Amino acid sequence: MTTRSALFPWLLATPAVVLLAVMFVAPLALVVRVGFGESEWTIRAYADLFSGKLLLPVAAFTVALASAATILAVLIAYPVALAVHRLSPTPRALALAVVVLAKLANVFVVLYGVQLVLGRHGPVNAALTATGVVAEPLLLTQSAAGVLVAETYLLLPYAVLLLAPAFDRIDPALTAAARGLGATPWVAFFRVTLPLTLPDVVVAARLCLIWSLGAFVGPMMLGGPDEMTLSVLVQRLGLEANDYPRAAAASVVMLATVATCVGAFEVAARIALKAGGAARA
Amino acid sequence: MSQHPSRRRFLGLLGSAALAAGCGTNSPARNRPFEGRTLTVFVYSGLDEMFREGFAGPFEAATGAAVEIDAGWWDAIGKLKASPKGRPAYDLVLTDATQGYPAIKDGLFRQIDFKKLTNLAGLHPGVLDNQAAKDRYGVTFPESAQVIAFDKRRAGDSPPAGWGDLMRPAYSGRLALYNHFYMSLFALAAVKVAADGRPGTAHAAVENDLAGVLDFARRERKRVGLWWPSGPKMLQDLLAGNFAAGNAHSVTLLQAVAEKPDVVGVAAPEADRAFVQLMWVIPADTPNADVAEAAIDALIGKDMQLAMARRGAGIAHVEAAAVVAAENPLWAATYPHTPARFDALRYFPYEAYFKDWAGLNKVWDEEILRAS
Repeated sequence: MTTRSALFPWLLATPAVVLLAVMFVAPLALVVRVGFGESEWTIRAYADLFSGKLLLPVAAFTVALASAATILAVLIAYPVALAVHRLSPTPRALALAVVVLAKLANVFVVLYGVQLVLGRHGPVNAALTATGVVAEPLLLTQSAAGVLVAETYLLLPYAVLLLAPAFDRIDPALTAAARGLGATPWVAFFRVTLPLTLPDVVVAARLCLIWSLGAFVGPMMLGGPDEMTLSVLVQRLGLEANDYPRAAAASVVMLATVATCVGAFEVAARIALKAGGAARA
Repeated sequence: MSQHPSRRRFLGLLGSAALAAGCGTNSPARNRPFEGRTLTVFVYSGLDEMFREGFAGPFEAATGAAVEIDAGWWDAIGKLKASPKGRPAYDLVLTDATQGYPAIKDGLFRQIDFKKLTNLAGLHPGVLDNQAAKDRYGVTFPESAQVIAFDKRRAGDSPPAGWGDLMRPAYSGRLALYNHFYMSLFALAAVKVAADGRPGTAHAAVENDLAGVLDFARRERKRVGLWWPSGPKMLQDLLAGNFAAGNAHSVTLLQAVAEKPDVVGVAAPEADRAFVQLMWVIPADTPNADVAEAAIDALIGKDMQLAMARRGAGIAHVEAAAVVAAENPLWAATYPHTPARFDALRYFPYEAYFKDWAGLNKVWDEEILRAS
C-alpha cells in the first residue's frame, strides 16, 4: 500500500474528526474544567453532588427509564418491522411514511398531543372511567408511566426504521427450508428469523438506549420532580439555580453513566449474539 | 464623533419620528443618533411579541438603530458568560432577580447612568427600592404577582379566595405549585401564616423563621399533586383539569381568564401578595451601552408601559398604571396603580433567599420537591 492510499481513509475522516474535535471534545473539556470551579480549582461541585440526596436517585431513574423505554421500543418495533417487511412495495412505503410521520412534527407538538391523550379529560382516562377501572380520572401526566409512554413513542420510529431492512436481508429460502424440515412457523421464527435479525436488534437497541439516556423533553413535559433525569438535573442546576460548576459536574456524571450503560449493553449484546450464533449453528 | 446623543436631542428625534409616523410619511428621519448600529435585546419568551411591536419598531424609527429581539427563558446569563470579551451576546437584557442578582455579583452587568433616563421620574420610587436599582445596575419593576389559579369546573360554590383556603381537605393532592422555590416557598409560607391565623406575615416568616417555613413545606408537600415547570405548562394542566388550585404568575393568568372564562379562575389575595422582580440590565462590556440606556428610557416611558400593562403585566409607571386600572378591574385588583398600593408593594423576599441560595435550592430539590 502506498503512503498516499494509506492516508486516503484519514483524509475522508478529516471533516468528521474536525467536527468532533471542535463541537464535542473542546466543549467537553470546558465542561470538565467548569466542574472544578469557574475561577479557582476545587472539587466542591463534585463533593456537593455526591453528598446530596439527589444524584443517585436521579441517575437510577435515568437508567431505569432508558432501559425500559429501549426494551419497550424494540419489542413494539420488531413485529411492526416484520409486518412492514411482508407488505408489497407501495403499502410498505406508506407504512414506513406513517411510522416516520411523528418525526416530521416538532417534538413539543407531538408531546403536547400525548399530554392531551393522557390528560384528565383525554381518551385514556375516559376509557378507564367508562369501563369502571378507576372511579375518577388519574393524573397520568406527571408520572413515570407518562414519561415512559412519551419516551417509547419518541424512540419507536428509529427502532422500526433500523429493523425493517433486517428482514429484507434474510434469504426467504432459509425459512422455507426450516418449514420443509418440519418446523412450525413459530419454531422457524425462533430458530431462523430471530437469530438472523439479532444483530439489527442490537443496533436498534443501542441507538434507543443512547438516545433515551439523554431524555429531556419527555421528562420535562410529562414528568414531575420524581421523574427527573440527569439531563433535567443539569438544566435545573445550570439555568435555574445558576450553579454552573454543579451543572458541569452533573454533566460529567451523566457522560460516565452513559458510558457505563453502553459498556454494559455491549457486553450483554455480545453474549446475546454469541447465544444467537450458537442457536443458528 | 461622540456616540452619546444629548437627552434633548434624543427626545426631539423621538417626537419627530412619532410625528412623521402620525402623518403617514415613510421618509427616514435625518440625523438619527444611532443610525447603523444594532441593539440586541434579550426578553422573556412570553413578552417577545409585545416588545417587537411596541418597542422595536418605534425605537428603530426614532433612533435609526436596528433592534434584534431574542426571546428565551434562563439562557441569557449562560450566553453572556460564554460571550467573547467586548462582544456580549446582548446589549440589553430583561432578566429576573433570581438570575440578575448573581450575575450582577459576578460582574456581568454595568452600572446604568440613571441621569440619562428622563422617564425614570414617571416611575414610583417604591419599585426601585431594592439593591439592584440602588446600586444603579438595574431598572426594576413588578412584572407579575403571585396569584391563586383554580379550575372553575372543580371549585363549586366556594372558590379559594386566600392562601389559607389551599389547606382545605378537598384540595389535598390536587394542588399545583411552581417547581422553583423562590415563588412556591413563599406560597407555602403564605399558606402557613394563614393556617396559623397570621395572614399577611409571610415575608416576616421567610425572613425570620425560614426553618419553620421549610418544616411546614416538608410536612405539607403531599398536598401538591403537580409541580409545574413553566407558566404555559401550568396553563395547559389547568385547562386539562390536572389540578384544582395552585399558585400562578398573574401575567399568565390574566390573559387566560379573558380567553377561557369558564375554566380559568383567579384570586389575587391582598394579604401576602408578592411580585416577581424583573430588571433591565446592560452587559458590562457591550459597546452599545448608550443605545441600551436610550432603549431603557423608551421602555419605561408611558406608551410602552401602557402596552405592557394591557398585555397583563405589572408596571412601574404611575400614570400608565392608573389608566389601565380604570380599563381593567382584574388588572386593578392585581397590580399596584395608586400611590398607596405602590407604597405597599413587596417583591418576593429575594434578599432573604440570597443569604443561602445554594442551601435553599438543595433543601427544596431534595426534601420538598421530590417524594423520595
